[in-house]
Amino acid sequence: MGDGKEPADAELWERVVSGEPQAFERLFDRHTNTIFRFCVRRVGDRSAAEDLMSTTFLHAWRRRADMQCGAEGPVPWLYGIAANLVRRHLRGVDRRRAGMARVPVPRVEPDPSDEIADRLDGASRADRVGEALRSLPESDQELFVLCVWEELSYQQAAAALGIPVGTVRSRLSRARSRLRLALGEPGVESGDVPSESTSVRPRKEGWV
Amino acid sequence: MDDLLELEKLRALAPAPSVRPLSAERVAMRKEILMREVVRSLDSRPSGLRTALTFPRLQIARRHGRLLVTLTAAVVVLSATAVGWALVTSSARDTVSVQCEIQGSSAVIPSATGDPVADCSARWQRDTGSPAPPLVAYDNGDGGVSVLPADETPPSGFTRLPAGATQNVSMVEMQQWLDDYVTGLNSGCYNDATATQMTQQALTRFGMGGWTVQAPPASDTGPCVLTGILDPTNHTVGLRTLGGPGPADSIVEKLAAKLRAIAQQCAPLNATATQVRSAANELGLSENAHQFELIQIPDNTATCTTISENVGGTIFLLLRGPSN
Repeated sequence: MGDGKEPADAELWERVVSGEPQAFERLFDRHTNTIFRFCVRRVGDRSAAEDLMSTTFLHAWRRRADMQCGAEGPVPWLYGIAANLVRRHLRGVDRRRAGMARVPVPRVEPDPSDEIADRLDGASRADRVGEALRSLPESDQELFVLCVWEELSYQQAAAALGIPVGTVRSRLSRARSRLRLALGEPGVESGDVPSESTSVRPRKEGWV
Repeated sequence: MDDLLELEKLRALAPAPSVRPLSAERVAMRKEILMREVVRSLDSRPSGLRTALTFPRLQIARRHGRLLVTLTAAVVVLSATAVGWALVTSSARDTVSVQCEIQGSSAVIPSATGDPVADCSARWQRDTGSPAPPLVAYDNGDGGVSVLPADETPPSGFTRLPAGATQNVSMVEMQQWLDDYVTGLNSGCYNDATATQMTQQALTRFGMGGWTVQAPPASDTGPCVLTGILDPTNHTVGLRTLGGPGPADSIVEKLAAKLRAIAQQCAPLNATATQVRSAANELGLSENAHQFELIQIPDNTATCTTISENVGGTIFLLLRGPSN
């Protein structure tokens, strides 16, 4: 770093694998809020998201030898760990709320800008979007957040979740059809939406 | 290109909600506990195994080897040892944090009392607002202790610990002192020589007289020794200057100043707890919002209540003292 250039994530990760804590600390500094934001968007609870983010990095350190990342660096893998932890967390939330007919959806804590946007855009649309998202199978919601909100590429999301790129593509396509249907977008009929039975896991694993 | 178009359409349909980033102070708190775990995991390993441990098969072999050694030792000293787990899993016993699985979420917390089940029960109550169910402590096979509800099946590699098993309480208390802002290494900016002397005195105080202190490695930069990592294998405390000192006017430092004054009054546990809560509240810290956690540990052999302030996920205020 004598030239003042910051090392790339992939280079830092190589140093992490060889057991260099300082490199891990730099990756933590860079990506804390990225993983935190993902967790908040998935669980809707900042306190739980903070724990999940922290545990994600601890798992990453402990399992560093298992991950040989390519040029893209460790971030997709961090998302993958976080996604697993979030799933476990949500199953716990489901258990806690057992007995309720339908699990209430965690709401992302609104920022002032959200509230302004809601007022401008019309709260009813925001509600319908939220409702539509919640109607997706959990695996589709997870993928939606990774690709659409966290802006991972299809390849990165596939790597994070350990699924084929084709599955990413088909699930997102299904998500869009469902969203458009739920929002009353023109040109979508209920018959256009692929059946949940094609690849979506059963309800018992919990909706978000 | 079609993929990008698809994503754009989805973003137009459902724009991303904004999320306020974690404050710098919260990030610093989280980083401190994480890096302590990271460095401890390296420092507690025999140097010859540091590379080999990256291969799971060798890791298992190491565990089996250690188990063989400890089981052999167990035969010799069985009658002299009250708690069985020290014989079976000394590596896990010699730890200063515990991983609590709470309703599907996992949280690594600094050990408070040395009783992993008690520490996780308290955390459960704090997080959920309801009493913890029966919990069981395990050696998680990764050199640490994990606590799960008794009705949950542990992952493979976990070894159940006997009821009532405790971690090495001297180490737990020593680590608390190393991280303490009230009277420990975080209570000021100490250079290597001063920190070494203070740490040596603390080791004696906590009954760890055979341990030695190592100055921070050359790779650590920064003027102040901020913590130490306990290495139970070699009985050493490695001083570290991880990340540099925090801002002097931070909430943590301001609270430490108040706590020092409270500790000097030498009051019993409950009275001290009341004052500590009020000092934290005066600084805008809320217990309900998990901005601090107050843990009272009765110790009727003590004449005064001592207070330590550790950070890591939240501000832990540990009070040890007489009930009356």
